[in-house]
Amino acid sequence: MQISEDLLEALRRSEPGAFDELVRSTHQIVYTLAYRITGNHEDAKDVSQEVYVRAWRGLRNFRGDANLGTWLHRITVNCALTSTRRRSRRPIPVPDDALPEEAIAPADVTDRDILERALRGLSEDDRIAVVLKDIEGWTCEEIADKLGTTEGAIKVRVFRARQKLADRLASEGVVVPLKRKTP
Amino acid sequence: MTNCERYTPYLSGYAGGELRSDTARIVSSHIDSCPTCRSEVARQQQVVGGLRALSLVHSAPVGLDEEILAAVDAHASFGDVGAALPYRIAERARHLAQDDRVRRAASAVGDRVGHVSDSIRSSKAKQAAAAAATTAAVAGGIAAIVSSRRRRIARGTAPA
Repeated sequence: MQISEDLLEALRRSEPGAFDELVRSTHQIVYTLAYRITGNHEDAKDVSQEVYVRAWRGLRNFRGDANLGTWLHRITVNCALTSTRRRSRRPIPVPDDALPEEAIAPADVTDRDILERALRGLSEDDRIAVVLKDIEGWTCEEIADKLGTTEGAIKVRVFRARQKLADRLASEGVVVPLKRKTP
Repeated sequence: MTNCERYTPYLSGYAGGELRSDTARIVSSHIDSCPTCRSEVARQQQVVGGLRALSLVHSAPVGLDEEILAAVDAHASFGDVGAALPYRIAERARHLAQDDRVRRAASAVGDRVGHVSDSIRSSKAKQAAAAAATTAAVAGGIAAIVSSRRRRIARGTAPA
């Protein structure tokens, strides 16, 4: 999550409108990450609000010694994981069909949607592991540390998730690199 | 254990480019000679490539940024309890707006300003109109307080 130096400086000085700009420039990334972890829009919206309320509270103590984008990213993952734990104690909602329409210029909407839908079809454990590993670029060790399990367990989850996703893509006729087979 | 089973645990890491170079070389020499493992690696590489491409795709519902800012403002004004208020009030207002009795009552009020009591005859409609009026008043009041606080924070006359 990239945050410009100008905005960072404005936030450090508590300039009026700086926090609004932070929300406007980063909320799509925060929401999308929350959505991919929780698997549904309502929880992702709640998580997004919670992330920025926490950020608002924590910003006063943020001295810029850490990367603000990384900090926001970590808050999002923490809030989303807490939300999924809460959700596991409540009825599982019907999975939503897709991200909202106003996606940023996807190269191939149809195949991207198939992959997003396949992600939501995974078990919660597998989805979280593969989202953090392959989309967010965490190491298996970092994921294991965050989820309180072993690196080996995460490797198994990622392997299993990739296999299931490959099966789903193949069944939908999508082949390398996410291109539809010609009939 | 077959020869392939020895390599299966490493195929995913190989596909993702996550193995140490010496391990990757050993797996590579196996998949060069094994069509089954080569096919599995290719399948997983498709998925890894597709997922990495998703990292560039972000989207959010229209207006979410304003909802987030309203929640932060409410938190700044009322603490944790306040953070949930705008959302709850908006939900309540949407619910009321879908109620036929409320729509009829609102229409009657609009048509006959000054003759409200004549337009709304049923007690249910009166209750619905009262609920709508109450919700609007509470929402308006909170919006005014939040707006006032935002202006004061922006001016630097209130603590963030």
